[in-house]
Amino acid sequence: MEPKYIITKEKNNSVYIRGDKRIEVPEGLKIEELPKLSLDFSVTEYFGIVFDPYIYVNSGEQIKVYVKLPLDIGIYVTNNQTYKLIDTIEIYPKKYALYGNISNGVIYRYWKTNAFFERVFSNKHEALTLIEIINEGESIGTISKIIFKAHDFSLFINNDIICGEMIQLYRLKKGLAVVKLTNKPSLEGSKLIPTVPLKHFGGEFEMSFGT
Amino acid sequence: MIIYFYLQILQNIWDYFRFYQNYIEAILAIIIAIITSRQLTKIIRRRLHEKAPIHVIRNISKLVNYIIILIGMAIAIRQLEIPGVQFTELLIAGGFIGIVIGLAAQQTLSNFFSGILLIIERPFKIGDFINYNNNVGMVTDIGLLSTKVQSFEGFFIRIPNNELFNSPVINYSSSIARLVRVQFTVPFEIDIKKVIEILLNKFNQQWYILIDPPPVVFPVQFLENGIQMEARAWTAGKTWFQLYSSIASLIEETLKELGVPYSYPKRIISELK
Repeated sequence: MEPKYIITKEKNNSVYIRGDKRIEVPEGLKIEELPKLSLDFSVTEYFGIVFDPYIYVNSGEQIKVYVKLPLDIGIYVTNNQTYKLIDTIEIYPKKYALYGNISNGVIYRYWKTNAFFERVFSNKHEALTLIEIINEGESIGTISKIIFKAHDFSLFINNDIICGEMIQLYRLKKGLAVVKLTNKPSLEGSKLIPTVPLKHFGGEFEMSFGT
Repeated sequence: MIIYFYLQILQNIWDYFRFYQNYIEAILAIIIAIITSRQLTKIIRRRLHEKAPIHVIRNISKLVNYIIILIGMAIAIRQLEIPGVQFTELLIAGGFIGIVIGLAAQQTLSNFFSGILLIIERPFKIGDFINYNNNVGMVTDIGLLSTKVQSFEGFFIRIPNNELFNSPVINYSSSIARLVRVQFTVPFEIDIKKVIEILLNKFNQQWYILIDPPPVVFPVQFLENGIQMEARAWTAGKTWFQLYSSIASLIEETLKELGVPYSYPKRIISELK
């Protein structure tokens, strides 16, 4: 069951009420609820998709899979140009894990899911995301997880279906891969949700502790 | 006639200026140095904002400020052309004074250079929790001469940079993930497999306990009052205190739920007939 909250107008001001919390913003600013990837940035900025079962990709080949990523509800104050997160309605319980070792690794939001080889139905709290896995290595690639920087990950909307930015995973050799955020929506014709604008630089993560 | 009068005034002003030219140039040199250093430090602060930690920006600004003021002062002294005092002589004298000050302020200079090395090496940053010589607290400022640490009780400790640079310092915040271990005892009558299963289930429900590496609970040794167990759980460096402060309560709660009594030392006394 989703927690109760209200976004309303009082005179010309937008008001957000959730339990004892009441936030009012003056005219010129408004409060909007928009989907946000389910993770707590105060713990980590990395998101990890853990495949169950693993995905196997033949040497020199590429495959495309869909996954459903968890979405919370973000409450934002906006002037229609920039967005500031003021509250998060958590839909999914969160778990975190360590990728790599304690001196050089990263903590990531752990999301275990199965991969679909065809487009599937997703609900309003899931972002359908296309992942392209390109195996440039000389052996059969086993992909158990993909980790990326959630700060750079944009969400899109298409006829009430929310989708994520398309992700590419280049498996270079055993134990080494590069994850790239492509700046393209997973579903063609989708409109960008402007809370995370597209970034033309960055958005790459080197997975040097294996996939 | 009036024009001649005004020309005379201008001539007088010019004569005054010529007479005090050196002093005016010296003052101007210092003023220009102050303005330049302020503008430069402002540019440094703005350019490096969000690119470097605040204490690094502050210390670079201070250094640039001191260097420019020193250059301004050197130019001013040169412009003054004090009779009998040559600029080269002043430099030699300055060098000599520098050696004397250097010897007298050896500790201060040592702290200064240690401060610079701490900024370069960055063994800790502002906001990190460190332990130096059993002084545990959060780093609030890294200055050129000393570092300020705020203890958990709220008081401030000023540690000379020289000591911090030359001694072992534990940085609790630099680890990406940390392990917390707690030992407890379960009486012999209790099924430890059940205790392990329920405890692991409880641990996995806590968001701040990492799912990978997974938490573990295992028997360590036999004691006279029961089996000593150890629980180990990993957490992110940022959520360490959350786990540290709650893991014992989680264990106690689970043992209570299972109806496990506290494990007291026992003696069986039998009467010989």
